[in-house]
Amino acid sequence: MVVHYCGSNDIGYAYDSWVSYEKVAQNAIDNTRAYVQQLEELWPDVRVLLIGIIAGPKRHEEGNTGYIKAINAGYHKLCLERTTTRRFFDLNPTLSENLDPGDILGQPLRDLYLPDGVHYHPQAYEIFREQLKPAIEQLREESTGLREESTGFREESTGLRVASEGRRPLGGSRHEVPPGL
Amino acid sequence: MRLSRRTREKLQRLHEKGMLLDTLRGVWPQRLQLENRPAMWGELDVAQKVEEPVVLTGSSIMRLWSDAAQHLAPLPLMNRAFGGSCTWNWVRGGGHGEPGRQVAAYHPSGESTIRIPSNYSRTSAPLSHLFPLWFSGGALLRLERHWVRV
Repeated sequence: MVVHYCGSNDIGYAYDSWVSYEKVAQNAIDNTRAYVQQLEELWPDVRVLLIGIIAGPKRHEEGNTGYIKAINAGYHKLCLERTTTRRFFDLNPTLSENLDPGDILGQPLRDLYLPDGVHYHPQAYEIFREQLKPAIEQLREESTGLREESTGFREESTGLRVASEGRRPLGGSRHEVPPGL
Repeated sequence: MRLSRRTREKLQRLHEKGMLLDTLRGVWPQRLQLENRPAMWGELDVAQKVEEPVVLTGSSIMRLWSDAAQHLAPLPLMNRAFGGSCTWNWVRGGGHGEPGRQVAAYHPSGESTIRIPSNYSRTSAPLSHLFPLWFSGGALLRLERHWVRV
């Protein structure tokens, strides 16, 4: 299986160039779709865990969180098109504070970040482990057919937040693609 | 010619990265500063290849997860992310061959066919975005030279 996190640098590219954010956001979604589809063509039973772009302090300072939401919504939609083999996972809620119902990203926990406002202190990856390992294990078990009974979701027992068919994924309806994307 | 503060800041950032002229030519993606180039896929495979792996791909946030193998144990892990990569780098590489094909090759049954998806799209700096700059009488190029002198 493949665990993929990409798109943050696309946002940085838009910030550093004259290419519109809308174009970059749409291309990030299209390219990720192409990558996932390419994997699926070459590796038919591949499972893909797609991680949403994390809105670190730098992205907040740049004022780009709206585009991060748009790209994550696109990623989420991409995964919902094929729920048996693709899952979307958003780490933002566990790396943020001051979350409220109207703001899926909240404010980043700055102590976790290096001074560049993008990358993490090594200890922050403990959160990655805590959050992603159950999701990876679940998806891998499904892919290898070890699961005798497919429960599809283990949010109640593990705090896992994974998009899955018939279940409310992380962020749920708040992951809406804005007009134009 | 008066440039807005935001434009000046962008130009400054591009210049600091040594990429101002490349951006004006619309070739930014080819010159991205990518780290840990997996042109060394082969080298990594010698050291790290495992059976039926969990493959981490993407950009630096994945690449810098140096303890991933320990964190995700006993899952067999291969970290093939590379720093600085954008989404288009994972479709067509940008100096890295075809990452999707490389990753798919870790499929236990192997893979010999290569098909690039038709919906691939790469963001580059289109000239349409830059025409206003080009028509500014080469001032930006002079500005670049000025910065270089400074």
